[in-house]
This record gives sequence, C-alpha cells and structure tokens, in this order.
Amino acid sequence: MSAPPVSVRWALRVYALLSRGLPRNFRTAYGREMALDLEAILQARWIARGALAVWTGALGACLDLGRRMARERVYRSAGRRRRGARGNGGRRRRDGEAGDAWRDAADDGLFQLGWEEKMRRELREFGLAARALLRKPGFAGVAMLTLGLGIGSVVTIFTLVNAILLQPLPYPEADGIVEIQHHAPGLDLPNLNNSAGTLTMYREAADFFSAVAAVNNTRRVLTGLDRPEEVELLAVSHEFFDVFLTQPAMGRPFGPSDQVPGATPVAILLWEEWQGRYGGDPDILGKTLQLDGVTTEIVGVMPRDFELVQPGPIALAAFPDPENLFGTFGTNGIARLAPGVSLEQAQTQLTALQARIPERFPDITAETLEGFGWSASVSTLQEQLVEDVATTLWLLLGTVGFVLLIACANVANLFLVRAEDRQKEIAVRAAMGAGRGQVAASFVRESLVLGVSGGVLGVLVALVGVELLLAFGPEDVPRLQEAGLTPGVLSFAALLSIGTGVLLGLLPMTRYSARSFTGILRDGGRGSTAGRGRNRARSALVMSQLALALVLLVGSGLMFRSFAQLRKVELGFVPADVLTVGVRVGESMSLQEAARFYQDLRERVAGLPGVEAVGVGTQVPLGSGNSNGGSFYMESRPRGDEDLPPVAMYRAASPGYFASLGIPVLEGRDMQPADLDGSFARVWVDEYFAETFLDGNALGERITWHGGDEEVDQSEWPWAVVTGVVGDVKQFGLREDPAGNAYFPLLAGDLGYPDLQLGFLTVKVRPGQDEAALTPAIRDEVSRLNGQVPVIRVRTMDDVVAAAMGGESITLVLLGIAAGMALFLGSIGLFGVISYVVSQRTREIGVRIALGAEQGEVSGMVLKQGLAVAGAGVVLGLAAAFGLTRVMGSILYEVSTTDPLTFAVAPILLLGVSALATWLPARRASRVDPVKSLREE
Amino acid sequence: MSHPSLTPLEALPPLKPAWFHILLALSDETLHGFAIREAVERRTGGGVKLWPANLYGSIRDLAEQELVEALSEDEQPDDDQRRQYYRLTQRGRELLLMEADRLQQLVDAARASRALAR
Repeated sequence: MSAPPVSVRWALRVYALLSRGLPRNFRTAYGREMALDLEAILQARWIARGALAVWTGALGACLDLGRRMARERVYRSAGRRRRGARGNGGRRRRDGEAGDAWRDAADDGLFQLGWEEKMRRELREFGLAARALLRKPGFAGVAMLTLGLGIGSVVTIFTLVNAILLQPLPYPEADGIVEIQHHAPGLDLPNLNNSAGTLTMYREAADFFSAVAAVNNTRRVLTGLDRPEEVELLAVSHEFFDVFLTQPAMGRPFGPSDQVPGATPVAILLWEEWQGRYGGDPDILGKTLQLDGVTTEIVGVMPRDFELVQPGPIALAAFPDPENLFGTFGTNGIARLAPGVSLEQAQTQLTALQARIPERFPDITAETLEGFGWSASVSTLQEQLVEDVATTLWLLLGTVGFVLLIACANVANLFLVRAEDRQKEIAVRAAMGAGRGQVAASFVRESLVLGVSGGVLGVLVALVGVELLLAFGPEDVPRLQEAGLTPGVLSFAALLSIGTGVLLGLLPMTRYSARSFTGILRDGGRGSTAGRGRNRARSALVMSQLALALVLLVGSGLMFRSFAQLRKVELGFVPADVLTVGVRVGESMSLQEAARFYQDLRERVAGLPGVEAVGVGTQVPLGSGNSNGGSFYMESRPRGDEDLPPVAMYRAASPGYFASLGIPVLEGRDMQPADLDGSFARVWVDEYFAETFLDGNALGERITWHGGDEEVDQSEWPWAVVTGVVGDVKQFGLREDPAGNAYFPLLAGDLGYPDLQLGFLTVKVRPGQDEAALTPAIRDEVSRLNGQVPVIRVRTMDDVVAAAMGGESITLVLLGIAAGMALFLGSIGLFGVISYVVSQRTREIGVRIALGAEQGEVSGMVLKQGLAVAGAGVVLGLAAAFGLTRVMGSILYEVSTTDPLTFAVAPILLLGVSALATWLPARRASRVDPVKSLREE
Repeated sequence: MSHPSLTPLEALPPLKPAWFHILLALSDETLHGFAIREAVERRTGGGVKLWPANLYGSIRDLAEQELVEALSEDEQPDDDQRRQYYRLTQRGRELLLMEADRLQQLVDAARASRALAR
C-alpha cells in the first residue's frame, strides 16, 4: 500500500493522542486493531471522497472515542460500586450484577439519575448533535474550517505571547530579577547601561537590592581545536549566582578573588557545552580553555536546567573588577530585589540614590547631571528582554482576535440560517413541552461540537503555524525558540473553542424571547413576521464584520506604508554583490600586527578572480562589529563650560572600504595605503558630522576623542586631521536618526584607538558573479596567513540588509495575511446575507418585475441594500480604526497612525469587494422569472 | 466456566443495535473486528457504522458476557496476524435467536395495528 496521505496521517496522530484517555487494559487489548481499522476506514474515505471526508470521518471516530471513554469510566466505577455493594451484604439493584454500565435500560428514567447516568445521556445528546451535523457536511465543513482557521491563528500567536511574554523566565523567583538602566536624554542617550562605578555604588549603598551583578556578552576565539572558532561567553561578576539563585552543579562559583587584577582567568561551562564538546568529561574541573590565546581554567559546570535566555554563550567567564569610575556605561547591571521590596519601592529608592552621585564621583556635579537629564530605572529582566517585541506581539494577538471574531460572525450567520431551517422542528419540540432551555441546549450542543472540532483543527493549524514562524521568524527575538504547544496553550485553545461554541449556540436563541417562543408554535414555524428582525440581526453581524475587516485593512495598510518607507530609506551604501567576512585576530596580536595582518589579507583577497574592490573595517553597516563613541573635541571650537559636548561614533577602516561598499567620498580624498603607515593621524567623517559640528567646512579640521587632559597643552592632544567627507550611512538600524560618524584608518597615527580584535572584509565582486562562492578561497587565504585566526559570520550584504528588515517584514506578512483573511471572510458574510435576502424576497421581486420594474432597477435595489450594510460597516470601521491604530505608533516608521492615504484606500478596497459580493446576488435577482416565482409560492 | 457477573440471558434484551449487529455478523462465520464492521455496513446498506472504539468496546462487553469468544492462536486464519478473530458462542446464538423472536413479535404487532396496515 502506498504511504497514507497527509490528512490521514494527521488524523491518525490526533486519534492516537486522544485514545490515551482510554483505560490502559482496553488500549492494550484493542488499541492496535483500532488504529489499523481507522487507517483503513480513512484511507477508503480519502480514495472515494477526498480530504474533507477524511476529516469528517476522523471527527466521527473521535466522537465515538469520547463516548467510549465516558462509558469506560462509568463501567469502572460501576464495577467498584458493585464490589462495594456485595461487600455490604449484597444489596442488588434492579438490573442485577451486570450493573447499569453497558445497559441503556436505565434510560427509561424510572428512577433518579446519578451523575454518571446524566453524563451518559448528555454524551448521547452530543453524539446525536454530531450526527445531525454530519448529515449536513457542507454546513459543518465550512463552519469547522472557518472556526479552525480563526482559532488556529489566535492559538499560533498566543503560543508566541505565552512563551515570550507570559511564561516567567526559567530561574528561581524570576520576578525578583531586575535590570538597572540609566537615561541621559540631554546627551541624546535615552538608554544607557551601567558603569563599573555605578554598579559598585549600588552594591554598597542600595540595601533594596540583595545582589547586584555585572553581566556582559562577549565573544572570544577558542583555539586548540581543529579549527579556531569564535564563541560567545557571558562575562559575569561573582554576584551573578546570587542574582539568579543558582550554583554550579560541579565545582565552585566565581568569588571576589577571581576578579582582582592578575588573578588566573577562570570560566564555568554551561551544561550543554560540557556534554557536547567535552562529552561530559568527569575530570573537566581544572582543565583549561584557550580563549583569545589566554589560558583560562575551568572551575565549574552549571546545572543542566540552567539556561540562558539568549542563545549562544557556552560558558561564564569571570568579570574583571574594573576601576571605580563613573564613565563608560557599557555593562549590563542585573540585580535581585531584596526580600519584601517591590519594584516600585526599588524604583523610588534608586531615584533617590542618584542624588548621591556627585558626592561619590567628584568629576560629576549636580548641574552636570541635570544637564544630562539624568535618571535611573529598574524593570524586571523579563520586561527588559521582550520590550522590543511586546508591542508587536500584542498587536498581532489583537489582530488575529479580530479575525476570529469575523470568523465567528460568519459561522453565526450560518447558524441563523440553520435555525430558520429548523423552525418546524423547534415548533414541534415546543409543542412536546420542551422549554427554552432545552431548545437552547440543543443549539449549544451542536455549536459546541463545531467549536471543539474547530479547536482541534485550530491546534493543527497552530502546530504548522508555529513551525513556520520558528523557521521564518526573525532570529533575534528572545525566547522565540521556547514557543511550543504547552499544556497552557492547549488549555487556552480548549477554552477558546468551548467559549466560541457556547456563544455561537446561544446566538440563535436571542431571537426566541420567552414570548415569541410560544409564538413559533402558533404560526407553525413560518416565521414570516420575524423576517425583518432576523435580517436586521444578520445585517448587523455583517456590518460589524466589515468594520473589523476595515480596521485590519487599515492596520496592515499602515504597516505596508511603513515598510515601503523603510525600503525607501537611503542606506548610504550599495549592498549588491558585496560579501562580508569576519576575521577575529583577538588579543593575540598587537595593534600594529593586527593592522598589518588585515592589510596583507586585503591584498591577497584583492587578487582573487572576480573581485572588484576589497576593504576592511571594524564594523559592517547594519551588521555586526565594533564601534566606539562618545564626546569629542574640535581644535577650532573649544568647549564652553556650559556646553553639552558633541557626541559621535567612530570605527576603523582600510583603503577600499568606502569603494567596496559604494559609500561616496564627497569632499577631500579617499583613504590610501599610505595613510596606514602610522606616521600621521587622519580621520574621515560623514556628511552629517561635517554639517552639524563643523558647518560644512570639515576638511583640515583637527578633532579627537581623547582630549580633555588639562595638564597637557591642547596642541599636544592626540589630534587627527579630517582628510575626507563621505556619505551618511545607516550604521545600526534602518530607523536610526542621522548621527555623526567618523572612520579612522586601521592604524590612526600612533593613537590606534579603534579596537582591531575583530575585522570585517567587505568584498565587492563583479556584477552577476556569486559573491558567496568566494568564501572557501577567502578561508584559504586567512588560514594561509595565520592558522589561528577564525573566519566568522560570512554573509552577503543583501542578507545583512534583509535581516535588518526581518522583524518588519514578518510583522507585515502576518498582518497582511490577517487582513486578507478578514476581507475574505467579511465579503463571504456579505455575499451570504444578500443572497439570502434575495432568496427570501424572490416573490416580491417577481411582483415588481411583473409590474414592469426594469432589470437594472431590481439589481440596483439589491446592490443598494448590500452597499448600505457595507457603508455602515465602513463608517463604524473608520471610527474604530482611528482609535485603535494609535497602538501601532511605536512600530510605524515615518507614517502617521492616521495616514490619509491608507484611510482613503482601505475603505475603497472594502467597498469594492463588497460591491462584488453584492453584485452576484443582485444579478440573480434581476433575472427572476415573475411567473415562476409566483407559481412556486 | 460461568463468570460471577454473567447476566441471565432473559435479562439482556432489548439488545443495543451494535450488539445485535455484531452477533448477527458472527452468526455465519468467524470474523475479525474490521471485517465485522464491513459486514454490518454491507448488511445495513451503510446505515450502521461501527466506529473502532464502539466496535471493540462492544466486542469486549459481549466477550465478558460470554456471547462471543476470541479464537485461540492456533485457530486463527493465517491471512492477517495482526487481527484477532471472534466466533459466536452457543450462549450468543441463543441470545440472537431470542432477540430475533422478540423483534419478530414487535413487527407482527405493528403489522397487526391499524396504523400500519397495508
């Protein structure tokens, strides 16, 4: 037999999962044959009637399974009761030892029903409801599919929300872990981390923290392997273990003595690293690692269940104990709140503590702090980690919530139609004495069956959806990989399906008020007078559907506009045909050696076939790498006492860097090999720098970041001469505001302050040539020059730019899908309602035509009715969109949340689709044959 | 061997449709579970479908009441080793006859009534 189709395989999987609810001995005895049978049944259905039949079959089998489970439970407890009864003197019930377990005799209701019996009856009712639905496969299929898609999309996004935002971080008492941040808006630095000085101050003076740790991500080159490799480490101070309340599983934690200058470098391995690279070597303690050529002793292994939220690090390295200075806010500060201290209390006391900075750091005065706009804040580590994605995620959850609402409205409409079909049946039931409650129960049972099967389908949709998101989602979203269908998510899905089911079932009942309920009987279920009210209810549903769809259309329209704006952003460089290759020389080389190495490598790579230009820089625009920055001095413009110092970033580059990246040299000249001889300090600045700080006359100016030493005459400060002005480049992100940037040659005179441990080749190849194909040749050149230097992070510039757009495009795609679904479902709803209205009015239309109405008049009348509903939806939707799109403010780029273009186009689109959805039934109406329509009555 | 919780035959009717159909299917030949399902579906023109859990649950109940029994290993036909075959017991046959009689009486009664007179 050929392999079963996907739908059969999935159905069998679901069935196998559900059948775990059966008692074990039943499963052992019959489980295998049950699975074999179901496979044969579904296979046959698939061949005969296709995938839908597989799912209705699977649904039938699952319902059957559910009944059996309930029965087995009754069976077992009946068995217990029997045993108990015999022990009790053998009192026996009417139907003897066999008990009521597998007999329906008790159903005659002659004696009081126990809960088990009630349950059985209820389950049988559900079985009947399911069977009734299966008799209407079209209705059931469409409703189930619609709900499945709606519930599935909500569950998919909820899975992410749950994993990223709701689940506590995987540490003991994780809500007590906070991150400390500083803010200096006066310096254009809205978010700053911590300096060694502030952390020390908090350790000593902040009793509202029980521990304060310094934590930094670093990368080092691990050598002594087949090939050198770049690895990520987390450099942590010894308080780390108190903040995270975790001790190494083996060995010892870091202590204060590990951080003093001259101490032996030590590291603690993460469990996976120990298991992976070292095969769980029991004698690992005391062995050494070569990190950037520094021998580092392994003193511990973290426990298996300790995980770091951001992937990458393999080990913890002891954090050096730096000088106690206020400056350089490059360190993450993570603290644990003291017992009994709330986040708000900690915030208040931390703010109060800032006033003591001047007395502790003499170079900082209260006035300086005020000029900086200085403040400090604490937030939970969790909030901090997910800050960037939280808005997007909640927005997406809201969006798919809307889609589910729209889907529900569609199914509700189907239900209303079905309720009309069932008028007669209901009338009969009412005649037989069924109350409102019982009729409602019968509706709810049906809708619950639909809701739950929609939920099962939804979970399958979510399984696929989450996989897709994990595969195509942006890489840098923290905790994304933790996303999965956990019991929590499944319970959410169950609640959602049941809630949806109950709501849908109660909806038709709103039409049968206590009084009209008896009325049904009187007019024998013809319900002609209720017609208008009924249509009004359905029109209202469709109207709200269209309004919701419009909100989503506007939302995704705004996102699209924002995306388009980002696409239009001037990158300042040309990414096409450029490959970037990272090379880490680490600390093993001196600055001069490193500059020499990069220069040699550049020349060798330039000789490879197809290479047009090659440069080396310490940073790739929008990519990785290092740049430094801070306040700088300009010789021609001495600082006044009151001025806030100008701030700019700098990095190192080689000749060819600008050319390979297509960055234009606007003034002065390009960098040349002679600039690297180290004898004369030169610097290149960008246009923004030249315009903002030097009034457009930058050439020849002397600037430095390392001035300010008042004991040295200003002319002796390590100045560099501005030799060229280049175009502005987006360095860190597409959304960044222009800021001053400078480029030093690899060896900037004898200053050499750019850090050269990590360099990136930027290789421009001839158009049409595959830039990535050069990688092996470049690797060979690197290892020929130095076998200890690893080649890392090889990417094309196109990929770098795409990654920078990554978060944007995935949000756009998801919103777009949601809006498309909403528009589709909404227009289906409109189509359904108008078609129904037309079919109801066939007779009236027939009369009109008989009396001489033109075809155009008739179709115009129907069209008008459809567009009136759509128009009302548009008005409502626009109002809602004005209010709701405000939450998108922070994720939009250069698009107002009330962008007129979007607010104009979205309604037009919606009205257009609505017109189409109305036109089809309108045309049918105009072709009504008056004679036929009257005769049919 | 008589099971302590065996219900007297007279107390069992009216039989549930599933029981009746399974007993009926096994009255001519020994069958495995899936074959029973197919036989019942054929006999009823697709009107009665025995889904797996109900089918095997009923078979278990019937076996406990010693109305059907599983074939021992060396009695099993060789065609499909993964399947367990069942046969009707003498007690099962008696019950089937009893139930058929009861149904016959019902049909006769209905025929005799004026409402259904042809």
